[in-house]
Amino acid sequence: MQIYLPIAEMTVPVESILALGVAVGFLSGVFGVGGGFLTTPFLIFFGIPPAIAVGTQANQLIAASFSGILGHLKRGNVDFKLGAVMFGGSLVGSVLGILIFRLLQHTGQIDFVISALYIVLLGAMGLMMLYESLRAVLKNKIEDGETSKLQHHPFFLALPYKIRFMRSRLYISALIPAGIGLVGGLLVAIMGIGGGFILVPLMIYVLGMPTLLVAGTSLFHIMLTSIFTTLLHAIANNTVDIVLAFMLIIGGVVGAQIGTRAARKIRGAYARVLLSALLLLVCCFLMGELFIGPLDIYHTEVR
Amino acid sequence: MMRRLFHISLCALFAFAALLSAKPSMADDVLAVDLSDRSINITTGFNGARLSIHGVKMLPGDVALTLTGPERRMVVRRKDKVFGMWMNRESMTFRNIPAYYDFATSRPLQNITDRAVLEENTIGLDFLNLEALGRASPQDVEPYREALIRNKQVAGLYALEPETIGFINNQFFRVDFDLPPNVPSGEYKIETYLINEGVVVGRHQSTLRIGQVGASASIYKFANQNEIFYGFAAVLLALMSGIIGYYIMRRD
Repeated sequence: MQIYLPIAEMTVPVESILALGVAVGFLSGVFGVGGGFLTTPFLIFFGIPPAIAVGTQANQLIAASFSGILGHLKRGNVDFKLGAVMFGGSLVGSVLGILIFRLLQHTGQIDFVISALYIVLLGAMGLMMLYESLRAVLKNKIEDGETSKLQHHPFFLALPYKIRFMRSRLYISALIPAGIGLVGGLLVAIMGIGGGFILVPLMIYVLGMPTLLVAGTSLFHIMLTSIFTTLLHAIANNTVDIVLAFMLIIGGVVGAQIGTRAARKIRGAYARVLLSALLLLVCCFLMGELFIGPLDIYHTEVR
Repeated sequence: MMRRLFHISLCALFAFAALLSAKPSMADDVLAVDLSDRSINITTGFNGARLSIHGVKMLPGDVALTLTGPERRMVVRRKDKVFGMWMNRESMTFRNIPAYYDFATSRPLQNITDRAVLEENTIGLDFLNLEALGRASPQDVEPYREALIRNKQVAGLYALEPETIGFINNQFFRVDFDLPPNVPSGEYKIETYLINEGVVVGRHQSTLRIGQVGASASIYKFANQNEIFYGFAAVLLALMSGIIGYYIMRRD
C-alpha cells in the first residue's frame, strides 16, 4: 500500500516505513537504545529529503522517549533537576544545530556531514561495544561497572556555578551537565537522533551519576530536547511530516513490544555483540557510499 | 428612443462578434484539444495518475505536444574526491526550470521540423530553455545542463523518450501520459502544435492543475499557514502516542 506524505510531497510504501518503525522499536526493546541512528539513514535511502528525515525523526523521538520515561517514573529513576539543567544546555545546542544544518544545506554539504558524523559515531560506539561485550562473553562473567570517575578530574572540579543535585547525590558545576546537554541538542538537531548512546556514557563517566538514574534522566532530557527541536523544525524549516512520524511511532510501539519479549530470552552480552555488529554494519554501508562514490557524480535539488 | 437603444446595442453586439472572430489566430479553428481531467488530485492514497489527451486537427500535418510542470529554481551539485571521500564541490544554479516535462509526437521529431522551430517552442529535451545563473561559459554549463536532465529522468520527472501520438483517423488523435507518484504539485501547461511541412500552422494551449486534496491537503495547508500550531500539534500527537504506547506495552 502506498501513502502520500503531505510535507515530503512524495509517495512511500506504508509497509516499509512500518517495518522500519518495528525494527527501530525492536532495538529499543532489546537494547534500550533509541534506534534513531537506523531511521535517519534509511529514510534518506527511501528518497526522503535529509531535512525532512531529521525533522520528522525528532517528532518520533518525543513519543519513544516519553513512553520510556513513564516506565522509569514509576520506579522514581528520573533526576528532574539534572535533566532540566541539561536541557538548558541543549536549548543552545538545538538552535545552534539548526543554524548549522541550514548553513550546510545551503553549501550542499549536509549529506556529507550527516554521513561522516554517523560513520564516526557508529564506528566508535560499535567497536567499543564489540570489544566490551566480546570480553564479557569470553570471560563468561558479569562485568562490574568501571569506576574510573572522570568527574574528579581537576578540570571539572575547577568549573564554577556548582549546584547540588540531591537525587543523584552530586555536587558539581552546572556547566558539566549543560555541556552534555549541548552535545545532545546538536545531535537531535543535526542528525535526528536522541544520542542516548553518547549521553549515557558521558553521564556515567563525566558526571559520575548513579547508573540507576542515568537511563530515565537521559530520556527525560531527550524528550525535552526533541519537543523543542520539533517545534523549531516545524516553525523555521517546515520539515516535520506528521504522517511519516505517526507511521514510525506505530511501528515503534509494535516493535518495542516484540523487543521486550525477545530481551528476556537473549543474554545481555550476546545482545550487545549483536547490537555492535549492527552498528558496524550500518557504519560500513555509509562508508561504502562515501568512499566508493555515487552512481552519478551530479545531483540536482530544488532550491 | 427604444428603437435607437436597440440599434446601439445591436451595433455593439456586432462589433463584439467581429472582435471575437478577428482575435483568434489562424491556429484556433484548425486544432482542438481536450484533457481527460482539468485537475489531478493528490490524495492520501495517490499512486500516480493517467492523463489522456484527445484532439482534432482540421489540416494535414504532424502533431507535437508538450506537458510542462511548474517552474522551480534548481541547483545541480557535482561531487569530487576529497581525501578519498566523495563530497559536493562545484554547483550551478538554474532558474525557471520546469519541475516536470514530458512530450509526445506523431512522428520522430527530426522528421517533423527543424531545430529553430523546436527551440522556439521548447519541444524536446534538447530544446528546453534551461537558464543558468551567474556568468559561466556555455561549455561550463553544458555538463550541468546534461546532468540536470539526466537526474530528472532518473527521478521520473523528465521524459526518457517522447510518447507516440496515436491517430484514430486522419483528424482524431489521442495520447496518454502516465504521471508518477512523485509528480510535483502546481500549474501544468499543455501546448499542442500542428506542424505542416516544418511550419507551425496551429497551436492550442490548455492548463492542468495538480495538487493535494483532502486530508493530505489540509495537513499541508496547516503546516504552511499555522507553523506554530502545527508544531504543537505534532508534539501533542507524539506525546499522546507515547502514553498509549506505554499502556499497550505494560499490559503483558
